[in-house]
Amino acid sequence: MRRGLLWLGALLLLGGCASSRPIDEIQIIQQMGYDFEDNHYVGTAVYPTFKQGSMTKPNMLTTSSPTVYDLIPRLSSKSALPIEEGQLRLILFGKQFAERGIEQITHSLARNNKVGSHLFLGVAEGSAKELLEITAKTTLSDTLYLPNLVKQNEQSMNLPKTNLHLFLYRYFSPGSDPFLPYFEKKGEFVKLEGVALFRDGRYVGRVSLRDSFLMKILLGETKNGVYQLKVGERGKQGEDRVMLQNLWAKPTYRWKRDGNRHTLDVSVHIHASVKDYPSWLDEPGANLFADVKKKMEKELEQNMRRLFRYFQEKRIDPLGIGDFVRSVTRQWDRESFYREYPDLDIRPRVTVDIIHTGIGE
Amino acid sequence: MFVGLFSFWKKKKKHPPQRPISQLWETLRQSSDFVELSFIVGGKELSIYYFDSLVDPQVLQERILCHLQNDIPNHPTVRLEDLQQIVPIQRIEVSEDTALIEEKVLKGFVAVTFREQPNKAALMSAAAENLGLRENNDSENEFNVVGPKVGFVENVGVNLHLIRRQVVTPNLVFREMSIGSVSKTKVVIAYIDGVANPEVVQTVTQRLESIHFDIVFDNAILDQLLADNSRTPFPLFISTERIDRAIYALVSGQVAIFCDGSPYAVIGPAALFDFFTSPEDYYLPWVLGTFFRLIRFFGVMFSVLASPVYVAVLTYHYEMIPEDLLGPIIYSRSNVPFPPMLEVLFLEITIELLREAGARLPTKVAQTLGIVGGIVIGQATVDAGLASTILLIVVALAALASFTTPIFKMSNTIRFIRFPFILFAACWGGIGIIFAVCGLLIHLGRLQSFGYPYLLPFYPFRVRSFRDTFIRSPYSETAERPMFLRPQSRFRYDPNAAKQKRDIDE
Repeated sequence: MRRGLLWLGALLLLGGCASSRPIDEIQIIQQMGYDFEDNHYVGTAVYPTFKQGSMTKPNMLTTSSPTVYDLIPRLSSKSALPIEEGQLRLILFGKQFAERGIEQITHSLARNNKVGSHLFLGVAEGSAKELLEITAKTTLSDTLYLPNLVKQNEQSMNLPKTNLHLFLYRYFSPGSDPFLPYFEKKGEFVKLEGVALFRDGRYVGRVSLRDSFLMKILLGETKNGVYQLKVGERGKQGEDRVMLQNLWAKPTYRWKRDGNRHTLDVSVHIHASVKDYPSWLDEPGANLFADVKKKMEKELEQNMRRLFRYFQEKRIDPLGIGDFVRSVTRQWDRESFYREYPDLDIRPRVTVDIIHTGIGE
Repeated sequence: MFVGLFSFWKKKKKHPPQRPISQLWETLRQSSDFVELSFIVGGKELSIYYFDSLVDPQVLQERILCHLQNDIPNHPTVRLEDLQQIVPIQRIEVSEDTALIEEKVLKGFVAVTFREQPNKAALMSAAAENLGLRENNDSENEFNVVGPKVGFVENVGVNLHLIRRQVVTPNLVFREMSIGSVSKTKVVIAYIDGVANPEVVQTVTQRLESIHFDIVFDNAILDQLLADNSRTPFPLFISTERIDRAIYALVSGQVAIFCDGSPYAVIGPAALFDFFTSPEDYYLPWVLGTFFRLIRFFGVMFSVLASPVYVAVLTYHYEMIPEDLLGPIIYSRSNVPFPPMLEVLFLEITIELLREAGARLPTKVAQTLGIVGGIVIGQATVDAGLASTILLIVVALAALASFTTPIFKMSNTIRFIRFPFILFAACWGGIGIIFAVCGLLIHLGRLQSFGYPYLLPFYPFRVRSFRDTFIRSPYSETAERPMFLRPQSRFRYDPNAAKQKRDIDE
């Protein structure tokens, strides 16, 4: 009896310590934007108000502050319910903000146990606020337009996989640099425009969506993505291009010492289907695809070389070459590797196997 | 006069003084249904005593009175001990023991005394055994679609008959005893000698013998008095009204206890997993049997955990709600004025009320009540904003899932243990649920049934006995009895013959 009372007392006393957050008494924010304008940080939070079915609408809260940490408390002063970030799905950084560095945010996210590591991060060309306003205004019932857009493009299109976890991994890894999806405002719509590249948490450049296909392959993501290639010189624009769809690709890196210099051989094997192609390719008897294949390989190699060149010039390593080299080198030294990195001889070699021609899916 | 009622006093005295038999008749004469006939036949003065309400008049007239009156004149020297030659009734007993005579007369025996043997009485059974009792039982409380529909009835003799009809072996042993200072209920222990562990049989006998109770209304009372731990909400013995289940238990080496006046057999030692098996599992192909058994286990887990998880997630862990579910949950909760715990308690208690009311009402009314309660109250609760739609579904499914347990006692337990879980979930969220689960496991691990661990074959771990827990293995694999019961003989049937493949050319 006394033991029972003791238990009950402990239960009640300890129960008082837990901080409960009943789901209908908090303001769940799903998207967050950070901007830097006129020496002030601007924070934008998108929160949904749930109504029946299609009546659900995203709403916005905006505030500005001279410091970053102050933004969420300041947002709270505009909200009827306590703001909770546990359901965050996307954080968007304005380009200016990203150029000043996003470590402050990611560092706090890394330690925040409420936020899942599946959170998407992204960079907006202009201001993040503007972009979020557009998505909030759209009559689509989808309160998670941007996160879904990123997810869809990662799963079936050219965007390499990114999320908070991968960002932090690449950020803290000595041999690679992080990258994030890059958005632009196009009229009344938001468009994914490629990949934003970071060095030490600062935005330094970007890669187009077309080139991000190559990035995706070089990162070792084996499936999905489309790539358009020029294969002839006949007539109008659309008539001499083929649309390549990646079915399965595998990059193989090889680190070699060539005299005094190091070289990196990158051989990529792509199994691709040709989705759309000009009608003249269909001539009976002629084995035109062999020719097309050669052209494709050449162009892919060239574009890869250009991409590597660009990374080397920017002194960034989003592909994690440093990590690869570390894995095959004893006593790898970060300093000396990246001193050598801009002059590294990287030799991409592409082989394309065309399968599935003719009938589309 | 109150000797019967206060006989437990009597037991304290070492040797109660023997009362004269006449005093007994004096005591019994107070009841109006006690009949005393005295007459003289062939020069013999004899008296017959019986209770009118307990005796079958036909037996009394045709077997006893008729023969006494007609045949005694032909045997002038007959003594009480010789009555068996005259009266065609089995097992006539002659006794001087007043206590025995009293008990037998109270059980529907007819006592015959001769003038020249004043302290002795011949006891002849003329009890109307089935008077006022059910003749048959369709085992509707433990219903199976496939399999026999006959269940045990209140008459223990019939029950023993039903068992012996299928277990045709001299090793089937029935041990009878009488329990209850007032009711003197006939209790029978049944086991198969050479299969059941003698230690278990001894434990059961000992425990039954040491029971001091006045009236045994039902086997359920014995069940509680026998239990190793009286504080647990878990039933420690299976109680079943199905014959197939009882026989299966006997064959596996368990012991069954029957009790006059109860249509249930109490079976022990029982493990937790026995409560989730249904005889139907064995009548269906093993794949289906296994599937339904797994569904049942899932149902139990769901039933216990669904509403606590709802409480925990909505109160503490909004982070883990999938994004597509966020809208519906928040929307349906937006009008509810209570915290999730009160909302859940409100609905759970509503369902418990419905179930309790349904059980107390006559069947026809209960059906209507079920519909009114289920549909009208449920819908109205949501419309009135007292509970959310999603919770209504969760609670209804949890209630439904708790009905899948084949043994009623276990399903009651499952109904009950949900509430502490909800309390823990409301106090500490997910950690609270884990805490409650741990507490439950600790409790289960400590339970025993006739001295056997309750969590067998999980704790202690017995791999070979898993053939018949989660999976109902095919009959080629189940020849071996569960070894944790320590049966005296290892196989139920020839395991090699069961495994033989019958090819076409044989």
